[in-house]
Amino acid sequence: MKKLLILTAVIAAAVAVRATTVIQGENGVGFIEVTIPADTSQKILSVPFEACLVGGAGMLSDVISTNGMKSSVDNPADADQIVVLTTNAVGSPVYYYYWNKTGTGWETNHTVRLGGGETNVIPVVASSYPVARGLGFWLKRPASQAATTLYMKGQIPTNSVAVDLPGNNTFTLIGYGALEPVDINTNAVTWASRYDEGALGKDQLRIVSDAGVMSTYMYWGDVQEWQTDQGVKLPVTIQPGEGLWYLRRGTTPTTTTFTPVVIPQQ
Amino acid sequence: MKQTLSILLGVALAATAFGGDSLKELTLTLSTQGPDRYADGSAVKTGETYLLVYVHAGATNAGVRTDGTLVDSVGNEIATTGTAIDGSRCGFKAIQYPASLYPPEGKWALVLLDTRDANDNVGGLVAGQSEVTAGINLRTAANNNGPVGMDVPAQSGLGLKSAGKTAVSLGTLPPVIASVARKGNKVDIKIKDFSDTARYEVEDCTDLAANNWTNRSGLTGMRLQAKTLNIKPGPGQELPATVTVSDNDTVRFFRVKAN
Repeated sequence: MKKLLILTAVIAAAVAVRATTVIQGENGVGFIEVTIPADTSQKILSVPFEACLVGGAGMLSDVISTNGMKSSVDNPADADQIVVLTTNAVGSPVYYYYWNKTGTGWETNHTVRLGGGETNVIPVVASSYPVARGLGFWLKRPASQAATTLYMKGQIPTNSVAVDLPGNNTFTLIGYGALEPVDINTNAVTWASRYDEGALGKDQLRIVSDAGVMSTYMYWGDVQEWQTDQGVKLPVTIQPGEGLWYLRRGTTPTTTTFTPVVIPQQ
Repeated sequence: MKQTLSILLGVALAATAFGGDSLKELTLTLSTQGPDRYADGSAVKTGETYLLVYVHAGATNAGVRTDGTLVDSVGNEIATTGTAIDGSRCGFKAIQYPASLYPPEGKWALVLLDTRDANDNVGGLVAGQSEVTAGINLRTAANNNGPVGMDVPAQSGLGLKSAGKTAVSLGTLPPVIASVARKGNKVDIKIKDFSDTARYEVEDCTDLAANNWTNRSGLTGMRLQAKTLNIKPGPGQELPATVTVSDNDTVRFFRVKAN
């Protein structure tokens, strides 16, 4: 009994003096560089980061750096522009235009209806416009620009993000939200109810190359994969920061969930 | 100096005079022959701190926390501290204590702290600690009533016993990176929820899947601390860290940890 007590005391003492030598931080951050080739007039982008501190969507002015981008003092057409697809007060799709104003950063410009036609609505200021992981947007450049790089920065995502995809042949700009290159058939995306009703009725991904060429990949329900219109599975990689179009053929809206491809190890 | 030694000698003699009394006072003297070295092999800087720790019977030397407090404040006691002098050695120190305070069943450990901060100045938070095992002169005036004194001759090599990691100070919160911004080859990181009793280290990598986080700033990068920067923790306060990256970096991730 006495030995047991002594042993217990020794173990208790050992436990009492155990001490932590490292406390890992609660989050990780980073930046990525997206290459914009020379003479690129438009490119679909997507921010793979979350906002620092609070997580979730980051504000446009925080997550997309103007470093290295073309600015103008007073003419939006001479500056790089960010164009985001959103909906107006009555639910109609519209593009918000922001331009890189010298000394200011991303400045609001105007709003354009999807399909053309300018509206009188001034976009939400860049410091208040949330750019969620999983959603895409355009970079629009002035003509004949040299190659440059665009920086995105923020918090490394640890949570999945859901993106709504409206039905009835609706296009939505999306991004895989990954910080590593991923194949379009990665299992890091939960595609809810992808639609396949024959050759003309398949949901589609449309990816624009740096050369401006758009490639289409269709959803083949029998194998549950994105393949060419001929049913060929190709290795198609989405780079971090790149976005693409999703064409929803189905009549019903659906929600797709993008999970972090890599969760940082502590 | 001569006068000081005479006074100390007088104290030692006075303590010895109480020799056979169970209530006697003992005199303890401490110094090292040097040169002592940090765990990284560099010579101990003048002004560095030594701790003479009394380890009670049944306990082990559990070391100190970043803020200098003992991890095991019951089984360990700091009997006295020493200071490094020219020659990278612990200067002579003498204390007088009741014999019953440090019973002979216990033992002594001489702990060399590494308090170098990001500017390589001593006096910062405890970044490392080692138990000195060589070249120690530690004697009690009547060591039959105190723990066994040490008189370990100088040896080749570092003379350090397993350099231990310093425990994080109690109450330290997980740090949070509040923002990141790149300016050329410099990346500015702001840290929230920091403490003035913890050191912070920023690690980075380029491939999250490879999980190869490293500290690009070396030793100095491991010793980021509010005290050195004269920043007090509190609402709205942020601890800045700057990391140098390659000019052609296309991707870089960062995380921070408290030590």
